[in-house]
Parts: sequence; C-alpha cells; structure tokens
Amino acid sequence: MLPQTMWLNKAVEEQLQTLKGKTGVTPNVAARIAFFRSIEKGFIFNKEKDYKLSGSLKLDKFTWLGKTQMVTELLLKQRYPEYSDKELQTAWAAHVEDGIATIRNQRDLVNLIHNINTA
Amino acid sequence: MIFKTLTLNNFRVFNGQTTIDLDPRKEGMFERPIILFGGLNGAGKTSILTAIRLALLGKRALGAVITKKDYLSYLNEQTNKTATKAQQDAESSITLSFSHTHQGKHNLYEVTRKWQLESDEKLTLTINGEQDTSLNSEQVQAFLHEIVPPGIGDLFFFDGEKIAELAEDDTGSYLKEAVQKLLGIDIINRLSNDLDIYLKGLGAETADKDTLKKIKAAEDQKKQITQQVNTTRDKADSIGAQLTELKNKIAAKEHEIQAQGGAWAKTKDQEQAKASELIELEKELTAKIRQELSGSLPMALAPTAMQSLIEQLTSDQQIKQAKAFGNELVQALPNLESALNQKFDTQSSDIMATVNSYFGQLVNQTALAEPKLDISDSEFALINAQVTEASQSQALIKELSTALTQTQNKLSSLSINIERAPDAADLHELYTSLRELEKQRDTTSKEYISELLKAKEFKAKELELAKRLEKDYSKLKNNHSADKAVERVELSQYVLQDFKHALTELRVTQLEELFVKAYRKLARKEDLKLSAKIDPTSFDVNLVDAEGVIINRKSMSAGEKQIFAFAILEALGKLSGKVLPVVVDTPLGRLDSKHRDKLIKHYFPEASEQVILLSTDTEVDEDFYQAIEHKVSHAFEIEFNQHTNCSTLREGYFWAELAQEAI
Repeated sequence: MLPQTMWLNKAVEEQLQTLKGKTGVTPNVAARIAFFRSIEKGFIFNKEKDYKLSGSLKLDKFTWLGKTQMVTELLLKQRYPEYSDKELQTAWAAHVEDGIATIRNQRDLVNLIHNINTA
Repeated sequence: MIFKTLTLNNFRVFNGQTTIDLDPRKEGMFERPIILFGGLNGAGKTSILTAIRLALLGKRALGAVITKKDYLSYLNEQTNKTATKAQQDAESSITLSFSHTHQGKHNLYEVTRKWQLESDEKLTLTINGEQDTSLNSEQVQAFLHEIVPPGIGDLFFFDGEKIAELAEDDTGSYLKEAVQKLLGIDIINRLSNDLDIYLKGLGAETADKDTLKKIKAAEDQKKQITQQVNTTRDKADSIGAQLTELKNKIAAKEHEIQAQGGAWAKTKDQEQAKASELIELEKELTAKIRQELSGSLPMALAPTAMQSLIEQLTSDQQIKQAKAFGNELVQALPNLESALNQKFDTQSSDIMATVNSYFGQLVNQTALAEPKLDISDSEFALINAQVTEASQSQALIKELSTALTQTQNKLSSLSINIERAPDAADLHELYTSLRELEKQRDTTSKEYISELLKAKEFKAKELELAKRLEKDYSKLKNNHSADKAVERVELSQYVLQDFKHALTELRVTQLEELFVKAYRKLARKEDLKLSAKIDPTSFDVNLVDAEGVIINRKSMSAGEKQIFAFAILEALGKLSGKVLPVVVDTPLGRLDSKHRDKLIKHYFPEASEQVILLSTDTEVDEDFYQAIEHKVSHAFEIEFNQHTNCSTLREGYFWAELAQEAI
C-alpha cells in the first residue's frame, strides 16, 4: 500500500498550483484526475528511472486521494504488484506527472472539464 | 362803339389838359364819320393814336408780351417833359369816353388811366357818369379787353405805314388771333378750353377726389401691410430655420446619447442584478463541479483500467470463495466419511473416493490460485458502488459544465452590455443639454407659430384692403363711366372741333369774298383779276392771279402791300360785325395817287361809323380833302410850339379854316 504521506516532483507541484490558479481545482483533485488519465492511457513507470520527489507539498495519503484512495492503491498494485510502498508512491507521482501534462495548460474550469471528458 | 372825347393830361407833347371832341357830328340825315387830324411831322398825331390805344388796350398796346416794369417805364416816358420839368412827379392821365352797347344796354363809358413817376397806373371806369368802384384796375382792363380784344385793336387802331407788315406776314400769326377773335372762332376755342379745364380740373378729377384719396390711403396702407407681412414672414422663416437647426441639434444629441449606450444605461441596474445572479450561479456551478471532481469522478476517467481492475477483483473474489468452499469442504469431509461408513459399508469407500475425487479436483483447481488484490467483500461492494457513482458523476459534471458554459456566455454578453452602458453621471450632462435644447425648441416653436399667426393676420388685413381697393377701383371706374358728362363733354369737344373747322372754313370763304370785294374797290384796274386764297389753318392770305397762280407777296411794293392790308382790314371789319372806330395814322404815306384816290374815296368813308384820320398836309391835301369833305365831321390841326415844346389843338384843317376865313 501507499505510504501515509506523499509528495510530488517540484515541477509537477508548480504545474498543479498554476492550474489551481486558472481553474480553481485544488492540486490534490487535479492530481487524482491526472493519475487516472495516466492510468487509462497505459503509462507504465519504470522504477529503474531516477525519479525525484522534490516537491514541498507534503500531504497525507487520504488528502491526496480522497474517495479514490482504495481504487488508486488497487490500480497501482495491479499494475506494479511487486513494488514496495515507497516505490508505489514514486510510481503514483510519476503517473500524476504524466497525466498532468495534457491538462496543465487549460485556461479555465470549463475547458478543463471539456478536455477530460473528451480525451 | 363811338368815341366821344379824348382828354390828354401831360401826355407826350400835350402839356396840361387837352380835351378833344371825337364825337362824329351829323348833318341832317347824313352821317359824317371822319374826324380828321392834321399835323406836321412831330406835331403829335401819333400821340393821339397812342393815347387811344393806350386808353383801351393798356399794356397790350405795346405788344403781346410786355413786362410790368417795361410798361411802367414806357408810361413814364409818355409823360410830358415840360410838366416833369416843373414837377418831378407830375401826374399824367388819358381819359377816353365812349358810348357802347354792352349786354343790351347803351351806355356812356369813361375810362381814365392815370400814372405818376415810379408808381402803378390807376385805371378807373365810369358808367353813365358814375364811377364803378367795385372794379379794380385789372378788372377794368379785363372789361375793356372784352369790348376791344387786343388782337383786334391792332386792326382798328393802326399806323398806316406799319400795317404793311400784315401783308408781308406769311406765318399767319398776325392775322390768326384777330381773325379768330373777329370771326368768333376764339369763343369756340375758349369753350373747348373751358371744357378741357372742366374735364381735367373740375370734372372727373374732383368728382373722384374722395375716392382717389381713399384709394391712395388704402394703397399706402396696403403697401405698409404688405411690408409688414413680408417682414413677419422673413422673421418666421428665420425662426423656422432656427427651429430646424435646433431639431437637428436635438437629433444629433439623441444620436450621441444612443451611441454612448443610452439605451443600455437605462437597464444597467437590471443587467447588473442579473449579472450578479449569474455570477452566483457560476460560483455555484463551479463549486459543484469542483465537488464532483473531488469525489469519485476521476475513476470514470479511466474506464478501461477500472474494467480490468473490476475483473481482477471479481476473479480474486471467486478464488477466495473457492478457497473458502474448499476449507469448508475439508472440514466437512471427515463427518461425511463417517456418515457414509455407517450407511454404506462396503460402498462407503467408493462413494468417498468419488466425492474426494470430485471435490478434490474442484478444490485443487483453486488451491494453487491466489487472489492478487486481496480486498474484502464490503470493499469490493464499495468499489463497485464508487464506479457507478463515478459514471453518474461524469454525466452530472457534463450537465454542470454545459450549464456553466451557458452561464458564462450569458454573463459575458451581459457584461458587454454593462460595459457599453455609460455611467448615468456621464450621461447626465448630455441629457441636461438635450433637455435644454428641447426647451429652446419649444420656445422657438411657440415663437414661430406666433409669427406665422401674425403673418396670417397681416395677410388677412392685406386681403381685406385689397378687396376694399378693388371696390374703390370699380367705384372709380363706375364714376368714370357714370359720369356721362365727361363723355358728353368729350363728344361736345369733337363737335366743337368740327364746328370750328366748318365755321373757320365758312368764315374764311366769306373773308375771301369780302377781301376780293374790298381789294377790287381799292385796287387799280390791272389788279382786278386778282383773288385771294386764305389758308383756314394758318390764315395765310395769298393773292392769286387770273391763272390761279399764287403771287409772291414779298415781291409786292410797299404801297401794294398797304392796299392789300387795308383790304384785309376792311374785309375783316365787315365780317366781324364789330362796330369799332377806325383810327389810322399816316394812312397814305407810301401810296401813289391812284391808290390814295381809291382809299380816300372808297375806304375811309365806309370803314366805320367813326374814322379818325391822322394825316399830314401832304397826305390829305386840298384835293383829297375836297373829295371827302362831305364825310368829314370835323377836323383839327395840331400845332407844335417850338418854344414851349408843346402842342395845341385847333379846330379846322390846314386850309379849311383858311378857306372858311376866305369865305
């Protein structure tokens, strides 16, 4: 399972903040959306890759994931069964980074919704 | 008319008072018309002629056009020099008494003309010994002119030598006045002139004076009012122009206000309220969307992954159930074996083997399988519920998103309107000036209307005046046409004109006949074939010989001319019917003996009831005197005294007295 506290790559964190400024969607919610989009896209994290969780926004697991916590953990487990908790957290962060790429430039909430609904 | 006496006082050569008896005396039944004056040159014959002419004709004795100043200086010159020597302002006078039938009454008149140095003459008239004081000098003169018209006076009281001018005159001016007067044509002329005056002065003009005056006044008034109408109209026009300008300004102002979003401004508050509503809605929708986003929704974004997860979880679930069944079965199998053993002794092991084989296979199938994702049933149920919720949330979020889009669109269009709408404060100024303009427009409009009304009023007045004028004009016209008198006068004038022509022609013909008669009487034998032709318009008298060729009078000798003139005078005198004395000075000067004879025998005795002859001793010599003696009433001899420079009269003729003395 994922560790109790998680954080992200610094760049991703900044992107989430920017997006919040534009759409009013909080970073944790945006991160969830980004995660699921990344999962659906079939992105697969390679743990051999050096991935730094350099962000300063350090939240607990429930705040990051909310209602989607269980499904998120199961999806990660299903995709990366052999990963340790810490590795799963990195994978999660990587998925968020992957997913946020397509939505981080949305102007506002409506555009964001439009984007995620049609993608 | 018969001259009775002539009294001269300090006149020319006659010093003091000299009274001459001119009344022809009768001898039995025989009239003796001739009064003969004898005198040498310079004795004073011409003075007597002058005195008679002056007494009767006054100023006109000198000519047709003489100024008063010239006349007075002439009179002064006529004063006797001896008298003026004695007394500077000696009084001179001429008194002529004569009998005349005037207006049916036979009266004795006495005319006295008095003058002193540098003062007006005084003319007085005495009728039958009584002085008529009601008449002033001019009126007396007018009366005298009536009796002896100036033009005629020249023909009856004349200098025999000068009368030749009459024959030389081919302009007719010499005869014209006299002929017209003598023939009564002047009366027609005067009547015609009077009618003219009546027509011009007293006639139509005075009759319509009031109407004309009215018309003039009305025309003036009309002119004035027309001017007023024009002025008012001009004013109205200029106000109208102002009004149009104001209207344009108002339209421009309204346009400006419109351009500045005047219409939007009115609904601005409403729009703003709506906008805040929409903003609220937007907020709400956004909040809802965010809420949905923060729920299960993200799961819906990965449907394939979720499907595979559910499948995995289901199969894991089945593995877990199978395992649980196996466990249950394993626990239950010993009890089943003992139960079988009791019921089926021999067959129990077979049955047990079959059961074991069946279930063993079943359990073994799942015995090796391990659930990958170990979750509880409730967790699985929760995930299933979450997936359903996610898809529901996705639908909801679609709706919310659409609603949000609409709201935002509305809001943006609304905000455009609001943006367009200027602040009421900004518009206030525009509206104020608009109101000001409208106010001005109303005032101007009122003014305009009042000016138009005024113009209308004036126009009405003008029309009324025009009507009145029309009436007056027609009245004037009526007056003219009604004034039949005018017509009659005009007709009368035509008739008079015709009558004048006819009369003139008739008179001229008569004159011609009388002339020829008179001329033949006076002319020598060789002239007897001559006849006269008088132009009825110019009164030019021409002599025509036997062949009908006009004789040029200029080529006649002075004596012939004189005869010619006497003939005319006689003819005229006879034709006129006027009974005027004839006064002839130097009657025979240029004539040859034959002509003298004729004159003496045929002219003087028959010329008039009274013939005053002023003659020298060479003119009427003894022979002639004898020839006319039986016609001579009495005679005077004028004697000039060289010492006193004065003349005196003495009854008798040069030799007549001598003869008498001799007898």
